[in-house]
Amino acid sequence: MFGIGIISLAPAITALLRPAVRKFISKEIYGWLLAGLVSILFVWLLTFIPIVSEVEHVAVSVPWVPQLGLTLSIYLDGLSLLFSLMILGIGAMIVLYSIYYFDDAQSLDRFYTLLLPFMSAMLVVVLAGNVLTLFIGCELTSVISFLLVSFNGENEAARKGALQALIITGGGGLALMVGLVMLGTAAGSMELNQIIANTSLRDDPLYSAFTVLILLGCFTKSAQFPFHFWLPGAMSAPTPASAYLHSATMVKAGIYLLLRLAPALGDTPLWQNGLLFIGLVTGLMGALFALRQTDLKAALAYATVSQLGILVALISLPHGEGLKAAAVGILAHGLYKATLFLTVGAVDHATSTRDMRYLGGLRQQMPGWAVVAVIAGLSMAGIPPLLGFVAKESLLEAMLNTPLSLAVIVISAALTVALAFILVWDVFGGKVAQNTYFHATPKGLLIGPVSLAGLSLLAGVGLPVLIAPLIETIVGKETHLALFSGFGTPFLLSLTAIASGLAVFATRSIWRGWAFPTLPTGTQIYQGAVHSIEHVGDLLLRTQGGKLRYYLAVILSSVIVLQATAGLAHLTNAALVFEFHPSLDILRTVLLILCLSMMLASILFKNHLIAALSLGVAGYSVGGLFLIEPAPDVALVQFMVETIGTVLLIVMLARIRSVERKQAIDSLWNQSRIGLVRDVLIAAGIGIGVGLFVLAALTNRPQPQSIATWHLEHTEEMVGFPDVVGAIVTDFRGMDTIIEITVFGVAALGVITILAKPSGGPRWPVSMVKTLYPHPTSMITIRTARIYFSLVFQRH
Amino acid sequence: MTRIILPLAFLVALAHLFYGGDGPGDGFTAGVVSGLGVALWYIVFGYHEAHTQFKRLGARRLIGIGVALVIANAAFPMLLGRPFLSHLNFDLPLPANIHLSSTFVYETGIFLTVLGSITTVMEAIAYPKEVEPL
Repeated sequence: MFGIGIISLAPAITALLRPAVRKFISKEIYGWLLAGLVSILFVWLLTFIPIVSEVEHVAVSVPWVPQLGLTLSIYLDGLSLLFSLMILGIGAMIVLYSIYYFDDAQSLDRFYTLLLPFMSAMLVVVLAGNVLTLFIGCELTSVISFLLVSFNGENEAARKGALQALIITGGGGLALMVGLVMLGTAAGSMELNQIIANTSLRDDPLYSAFTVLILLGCFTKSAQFPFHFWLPGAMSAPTPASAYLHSATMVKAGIYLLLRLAPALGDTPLWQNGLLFIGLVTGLMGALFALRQTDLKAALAYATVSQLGILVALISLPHGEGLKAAAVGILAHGLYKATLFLTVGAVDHATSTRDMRYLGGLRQQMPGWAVVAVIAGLSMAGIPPLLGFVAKESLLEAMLNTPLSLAVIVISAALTVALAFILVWDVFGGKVAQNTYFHATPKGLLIGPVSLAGLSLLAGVGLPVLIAPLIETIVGKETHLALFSGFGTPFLLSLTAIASGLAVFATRSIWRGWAFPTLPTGTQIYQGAVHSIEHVGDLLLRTQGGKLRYYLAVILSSVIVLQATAGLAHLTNAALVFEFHPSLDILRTVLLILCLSMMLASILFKNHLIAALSLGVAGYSVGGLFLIEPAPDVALVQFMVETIGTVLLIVMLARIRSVERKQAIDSLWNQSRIGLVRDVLIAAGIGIGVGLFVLAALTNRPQPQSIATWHLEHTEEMVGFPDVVGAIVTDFRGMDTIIEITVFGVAALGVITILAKPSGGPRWPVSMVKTLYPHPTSMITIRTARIYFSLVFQRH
Repeated sequence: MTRIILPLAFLVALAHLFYGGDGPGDGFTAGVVSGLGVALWYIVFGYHEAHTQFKRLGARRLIGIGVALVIANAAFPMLLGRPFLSHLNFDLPLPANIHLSSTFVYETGIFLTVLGSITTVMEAIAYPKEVEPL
């Protein structure tokens, strides 16, 4: 089982090693080695097929954070095998393709750095045996997808598309997280094998709540209606990324999760009706929209949306009836869609356009690609003997019992057939377009798509040998999977679909000119929402005057009001006992007086050096107070921090010009009488308010149940050494320390970024920022952009 | 005198690291103490000399190494099948009553990070051109 762990992490680790390795070998060799590595992982995974068909599923787990139910566990069954084989297999082809697609080495390196961890994250999603680990993988894929879609960051459409995708899938991710946690709590365990085996989840009172949340997560991930609009917007990703993420893997993650949870959550009205409705609507709508597109990639994106909808509808069927069709459908779709995307990429590379209206007759200039496209197109249209045909047949067979769904599916199938023919014919067939630009594609670009298309063909023909073993691991050995199952209803329906599809295709010149009524699209709603948020932000920004003293006054006054009222409300006289131990308390009093007088000195002395030093002495006296407690650890830290703080303060003060410092002092001391009184009142108010609050808090402590006693008792036995403070830092609150130390380091890096302007770099004026980012933007964005630019364009 | 203080500062820092288990002091204070030694150099000797002296230290790299050490130390027990952030105690017969456990690596990580951060900050703010007499 360790092997599975290695398989899933190997791509990410390889990505980490890239900078070291690439110094020695060229980009082609590296790409081929990488493809070889992924293929080895693919073959290794194939060896698991016999194991899984024996055992039905394998589950292994290693505890990570037991209190949260978080483990590193693996759940391997036919479904995960299918998905991971697709991830690795198609991934290897994508790696190969990218070698020749990216003309310069730097882009290729950047692409691999993103693609490989994505591969690992996706493998984590499908191989995880714990819903929390699965979720982590899911979110990772969203983030990396964001980075990939905005790969060509200078392109504004790319940035917007990436942000939109991230917000939609991230929002769905939030819902998913809540749903999964609720599911795990209801099932009593976060482990998948236990959740799936649990048959009473459907009767849980919270069933509707967590199922709806999980469905929301899956629908956003797999671009179902009404969240479908992010997928066409994400088409600004480089083509290999689109082929991988948006056809073969990431969008299928939602489908995977639905399939995975179906045994536990399915067979209820909510599940069946919900999935069926959304799935069919998406399926039909996606196909309709696809036909209206002129951009090849957008058409493919909508077609993917449609196919995913059909898959979702299949999952709604009771008792896993749709499982076989779904499995074959996933495989077939992944193969042909990836091929088509890669073909579009090649066309784009060669002719620098993706617009159908300007393309035509490319079969003469790109013959190999024409063949590949034809094969993939035939699979998409569901024509024998390709795998797509087998998928369609299984689909129709599964849906036979529900006439309405059957009708919708046949219609979508017809539209998909039409789309397939349009895609292939209008680009490769027909007359040569008036295109003066043609740049031949490298031969190596073909290798990946040829293999994928070839597999579509071979898989259909050699069904029992190639595909059946895999599908059987999912569905059980008694399934019937054959290329040609006789002239039954499914076959007739397929013929109908193909025929009507051809009719739609043939009449395309007629309906292409029609104007369809336009509804507000999802993108418009999304943009409207984003704009209103920015608008509110602008309104808030107007309340900020920009003067620090004003902010302080507001903050402090509110704090005074809150804390003083809370303090007064809880003050109990009875508990205030003043004891006086002569020996220690005299020392305490001396230190307190020292502290207070030093603080007073720091205010009154107008010389900044002395003021800083007196502040330091005040800190030391507080440290002394700690020492008397006795709390030597805390005192030590206090002394250290005070020292370094004073040193840094003095050095920083020296950087501010004395003129400006004089101005600061003057503005405090030379203001009007009223201003001075006001400041003193606020300061006194804060002191009294906080004091009251602390007094109340101290007298109201729950005795003796504080966690301090627990720490004191359990340190030696749990940690092995008697230092309580050390134990708290490194063990009981160890995670806090890790986070704090990271913050410490990042803060230091932040200091250099903001301060290091050795030659006094330029301040970026607002007008210049506006020219770089020309849309009417809010002041927030402009101010943030100014800071961002000054950070980015520094030379250290 | 400053030249003597720097090695002394490091020695005190090391002492804090080793004895952190039994008495006051831990990785953080070790880092701050050595950081203070570095800061003293910057103040007394000025930016240029201190910069050349400490360039070998590679302050920014130290931060990264420190954080990586801390996380690696926390994650390492997982390879042995125990949950995140567990402790491993080594019973080594060391002189001077020094207790060693995996927290040593942890504290060393914190020490390196703090030292790196303070050096980085000093490097950034002690720049000569903009320093004026107070």
